[in-house]
Amino acid sequence: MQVQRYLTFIVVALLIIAALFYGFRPQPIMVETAPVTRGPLQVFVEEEGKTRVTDRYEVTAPVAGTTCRLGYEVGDEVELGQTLLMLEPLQSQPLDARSRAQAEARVAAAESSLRAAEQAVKAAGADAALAKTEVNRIGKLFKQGHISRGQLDQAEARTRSTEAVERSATFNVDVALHELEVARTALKYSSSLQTDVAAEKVKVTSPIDGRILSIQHKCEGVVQAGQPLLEVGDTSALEVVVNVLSADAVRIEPGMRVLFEHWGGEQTLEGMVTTVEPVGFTKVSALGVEEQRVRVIVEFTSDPELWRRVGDGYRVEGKFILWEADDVLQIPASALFRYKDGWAVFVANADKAELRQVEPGERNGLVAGIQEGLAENEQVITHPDDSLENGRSIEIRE
Amino acid sequence: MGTLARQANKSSPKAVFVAEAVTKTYHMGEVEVHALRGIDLELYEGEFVVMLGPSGSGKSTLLNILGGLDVPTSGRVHYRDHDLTTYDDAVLTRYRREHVGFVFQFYNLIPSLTARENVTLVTEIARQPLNPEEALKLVRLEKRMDHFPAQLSGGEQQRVAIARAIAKRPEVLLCDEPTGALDAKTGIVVLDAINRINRELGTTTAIITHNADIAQIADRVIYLMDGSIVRMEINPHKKQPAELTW
Amino acid sequence: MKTLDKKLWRDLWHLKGQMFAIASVMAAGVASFIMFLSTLDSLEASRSLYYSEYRFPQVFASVKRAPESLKKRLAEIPGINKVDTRVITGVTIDIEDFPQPITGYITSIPDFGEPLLNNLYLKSGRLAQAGREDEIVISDAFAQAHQLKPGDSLNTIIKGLKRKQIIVGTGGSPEWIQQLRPGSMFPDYKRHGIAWMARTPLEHAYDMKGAFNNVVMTLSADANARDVIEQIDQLLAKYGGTGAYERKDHFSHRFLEEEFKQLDNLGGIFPVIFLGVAAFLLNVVITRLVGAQREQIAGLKAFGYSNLIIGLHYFKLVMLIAMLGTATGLAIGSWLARQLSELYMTLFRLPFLEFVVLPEVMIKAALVCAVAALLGTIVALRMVTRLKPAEAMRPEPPAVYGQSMIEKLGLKRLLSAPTRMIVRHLSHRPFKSLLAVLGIAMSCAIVMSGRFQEDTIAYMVNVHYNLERREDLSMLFIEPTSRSALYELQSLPGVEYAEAFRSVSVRLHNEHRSFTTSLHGMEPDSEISRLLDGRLHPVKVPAEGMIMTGYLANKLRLKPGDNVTVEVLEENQAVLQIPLVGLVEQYLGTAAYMDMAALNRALGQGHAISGAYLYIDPQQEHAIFQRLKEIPRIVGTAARRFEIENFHKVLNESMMFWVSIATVFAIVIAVGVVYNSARIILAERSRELASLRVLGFTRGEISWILLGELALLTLAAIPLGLFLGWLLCLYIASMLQNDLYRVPLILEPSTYAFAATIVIVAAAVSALAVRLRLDNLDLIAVLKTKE
Repeated sequence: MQVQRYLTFIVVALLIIAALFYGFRPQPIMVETAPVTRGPLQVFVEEEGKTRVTDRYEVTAPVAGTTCRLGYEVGDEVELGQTLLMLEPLQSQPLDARSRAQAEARVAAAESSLRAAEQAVKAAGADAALAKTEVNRIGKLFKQGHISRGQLDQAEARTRSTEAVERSATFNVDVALHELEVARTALKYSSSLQTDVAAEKVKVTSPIDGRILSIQHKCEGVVQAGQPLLEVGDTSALEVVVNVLSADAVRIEPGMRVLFEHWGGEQTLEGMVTTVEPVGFTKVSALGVEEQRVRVIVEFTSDPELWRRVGDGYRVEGKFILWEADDVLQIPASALFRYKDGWAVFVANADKAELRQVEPGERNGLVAGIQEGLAENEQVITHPDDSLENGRSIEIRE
Repeated sequence: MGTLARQANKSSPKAVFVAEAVTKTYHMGEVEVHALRGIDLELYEGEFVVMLGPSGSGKSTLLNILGGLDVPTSGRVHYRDHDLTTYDDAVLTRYRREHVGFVFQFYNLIPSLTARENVTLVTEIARQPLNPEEALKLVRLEKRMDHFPAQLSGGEQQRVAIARAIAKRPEVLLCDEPTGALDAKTGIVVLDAINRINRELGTTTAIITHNADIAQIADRVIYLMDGSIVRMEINPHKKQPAELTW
Repeated sequence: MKTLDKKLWRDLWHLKGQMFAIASVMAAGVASFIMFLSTLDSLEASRSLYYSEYRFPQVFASVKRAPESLKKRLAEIPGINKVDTRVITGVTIDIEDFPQPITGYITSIPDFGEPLLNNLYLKSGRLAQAGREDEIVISDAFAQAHQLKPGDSLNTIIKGLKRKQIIVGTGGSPEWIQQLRPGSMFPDYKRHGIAWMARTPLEHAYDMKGAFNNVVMTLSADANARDVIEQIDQLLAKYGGTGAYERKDHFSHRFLEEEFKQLDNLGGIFPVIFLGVAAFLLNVVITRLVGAQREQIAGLKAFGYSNLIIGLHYFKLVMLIAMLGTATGLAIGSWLARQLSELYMTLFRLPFLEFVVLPEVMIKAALVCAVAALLGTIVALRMVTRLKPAEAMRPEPPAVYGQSMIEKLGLKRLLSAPTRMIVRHLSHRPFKSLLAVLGIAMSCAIVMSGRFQEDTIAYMVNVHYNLERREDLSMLFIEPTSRSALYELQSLPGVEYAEAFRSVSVRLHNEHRSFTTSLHGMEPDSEISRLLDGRLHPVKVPAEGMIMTGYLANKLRLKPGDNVTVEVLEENQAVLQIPLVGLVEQYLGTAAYMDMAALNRALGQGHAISGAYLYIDPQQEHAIFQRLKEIPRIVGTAARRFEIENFHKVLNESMMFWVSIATVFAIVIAVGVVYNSARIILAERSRELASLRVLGFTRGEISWILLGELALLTLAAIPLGLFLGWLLCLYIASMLQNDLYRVPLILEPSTYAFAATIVIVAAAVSALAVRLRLDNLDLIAVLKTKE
């Protein structure tokens, strides 16, 4: 009986001690994990930018007169030659010799501008053709592996920019034609001496196909010759101007891909850097700091239908892709921490945390590429707590 | 019984107690006990009475009722002019305080008080008490006054109890088996003390015992059995306690 | 009476062990009562005095910018007594050799002389004056943390301009009793400083010439605060007024009020528990005593002692114990109250502590203790008076035992005879055994309540800093700023990622209910700052509509699907209707959340942001701190890791106090109950145990009977105690639900284990103490006595 009693006593005592030990043991730490994945990784620089219609033209009053009310709104589409408004010229006064000479000089200047523009179109055309052949050639070499991607990109960039120049040149020709018309009209009206001839109403037409960007003079009223009436522009040639910090600008090269988000539409638009201006300028930042900025011009490469509704002066957020790769082993950057001379992560091994040194590759804010140290599908612990140690028991939060 | 009472009246000793048709029933645990079944009794002034009977005969119950410690289930009890059965607890307490002294079989001393203090306990509330030291002298315990009950022998403890009982000069002394827990020799000493008090102070004394030999020192012996008085005898020649042998 | 009193003292002495144990439990009850209530009284008295002597205002209002000339019109509002206008600004403080970011507020004081309202008390030095442009007074807490004194200097950065300031004084003012950085739970005096400057230099620095952005007022005696506030709001509306409020809504005042409420509540529960246990113990002991002294009582009655006197005798015994307990409790309680008050002084900066232990509190404590003692013993005392002397002299019938439950279940054979004795004894007086178990269980519960705060606050902080807000740095801009600021921050060397937020002060309305809080706009895929649902899973902020913490929704009686009327208190003062689309769980703060773009749209603003959260490379921490200080529009930079460090520091200090007290008190109860139970078992059964010894059982075997019963009681008490502890903590947690924080019920396994251990150890020690007695059992003497 004695043995039996001692036995029960000991068993109970052991049970109690076991329960207490269980209670006192350090609790597993709650952690969140993420898998090591393979996939695309982009390193980018973000900045705000504004859209700008490259080709814009200010429509002015050819002669002094009275305008009728403008029936168009900003954003309306216009065609080349379309009448924008009618202008009733003032009773013309006989021009004195000097004024007449000026008017004639204007016509002459317009003619020579037109000639220059036509020349420019030819030159631009030639450049564009050359760039096209180049890009084809380089494209072949690239396929054969003789040339780097970067060079191909640059060639493509050249193509685009020359095309743009060509487009602008063509545009300028239209403009020059229009200017000539205006100058001739001005001369005609100013040189008429017959005061009793009922003055014809002058048509003010659009020099290009495009949209009305802004209106300076909407209502009925008297205008002077040369007074700005409205601005039209070819919104199909839209570019984005981004003022990038000079420190970031050095990392941006023409040809780099740019993603645009938060512009009002659902899809992400793509663009390509065409120019990085060589000269910086000082600007006071949003946070009140004086900074050096560099203008970077980006052209849309997405299907124009997608950004048809984007107008002039719209705000967009641009992500300049400085580096990207398709098949990068990557983890959330929050799992990385500095360890000795390098970096490390905690790997969730069953229910224990394992400290592992890794060699990170490229990283953007949220994701870090891993070059060495981890295998795909392993789970790393994000935002590791201070109390984590190698071998500590953990509990993974769902 | 009534004859005896009238006779006693004629020869002048007054009846201190008169009990008429006293019955007592009580419950002990789950058992119902009929302790007294119709008792008629008179006790006279200065008398030394011994109540004899086997255990369960109702002796203690009767004593308790006479002493105002208990109330009968039916019947009347008179102490002199007072009808005890009409008294409530408070009045009975006063009655006990002023008129009765008790001695119990198991002494009932306060173990945390000395002999002297046990006696003082009673003299403090009495009207004209003896000096505690005097009372203890009467029982020949003057040398052990400052001892605690745990340090006294059974006989000494009982003597302290007696001293305590008489210290307030009660008119009545009721003793329940005073020698029950003692050996022969000590018992004689105790009985001697009680006897002296009865003689010297004239205290009406009643002793309960189951020991018939003790009855020889009484004036009168009352025999109880099963809750009734079966016999009463008067002792023509009562002995002194020292002469007892059992 | 004299001799009876001698008995009283001797009886008391005889039972000294048990009486001392009971008196200790009473002392614990009285002490806890005094501790909580005296601390409360002291803090309230100190605060009252502070408020009145230093002229704490009654009405407060902030505006964006109002001309000084408006002061006169404010003063003309009926009901307003005094008006004082000030400029208050957030500021970044820069101290040499201290690279970590320091935030703070500077309040203006008049160019010369004392402020009309919210006067400063000066611990050292003097007030700043306008003569020298760079004078500053800092809070004494901040001065202490950085060991600064008058004559030292520091830099303040206001609107990007760094200025060197000379400290001319240290002190505080009644509106800054609580100096927490907004959003924190604990004070961080090293990284958040309150300061005062003369009005004119501050106006210049903050571009507020001739204007004010904060006004405080006192009311005349018969004024109706609501009406006055309405008029103030009307007047201030066009200057960007965010709504005037009274003292009860003042952040510092409110913070104290919550603490006071807690003290009051705690002062209600714990004394009741302790005194309840004491009453139970006293009941058991006195009943036992009266039972044991049955024949003595009978004897006394036989000799003419009245019921009153005898009853009084035992009453005196009970009262003596109560008095002993009360006296000890008062002394200990006063000392503890002092310690607790001083602990609070680190949380609130009061210039002086009017430490009071009010006579009313002491009297109440004594009365409550006496009443508890009486309640516990009333039955025993009645028994004394009721005892019929004749009955008392009959031997007590043998106690009624029966077969216990276990045996009825047929498990008799499992138990040895001594074990059977134990089990039967326990089930013989089930009520008494249950109460003993309950007493020990309460002890366990009290230990748990001491550690509960620690567990739960650690959890809350973990949720807030590891799950909700994971930024390395957070910062606020002086004003809503263009989104490009975010890209600026991202391009700073060392900044790995930046996330913006937009925050605007609003008053939410639902029918007649309203609540002033802030509406946070968050990035749609926020990574740094997250919202959590009831199970702490991340919740995405919805594209349209707002979500809020369940507590706030409840307060406003809103449920998902309802429309909330949002009154914007800054900027354009618009009133918007935004639907509530979901609920989140938050322990700290009561804010509402929306998609940032949606919020900006609703406000009619472009892409403004109010602040940002950053992930940074820890190696570049210093450089980044430096850089941030130089950026004009940034104010209020805080680093999470310092906040966590600070929290640990403060928690350790204050929790030590609570855990120690709770543990000590709990030990007192456990020892009290076990010791008393042991002594009583011993007394009740010493005859049996002695008989067993005579029959040949060894000391060890009869120890088992005694200790075994105690062990069973303790073992039964522990699970009950852990459950009661859980209940007690649940009750305490339920009281800690207010606008500032909601405390969840979190108890770590180690807390349960700790409580169980304490109870086991305390019980074991007291049991062993009694066992020693057992060994000295004088067999013969015990057997000789009748009982």
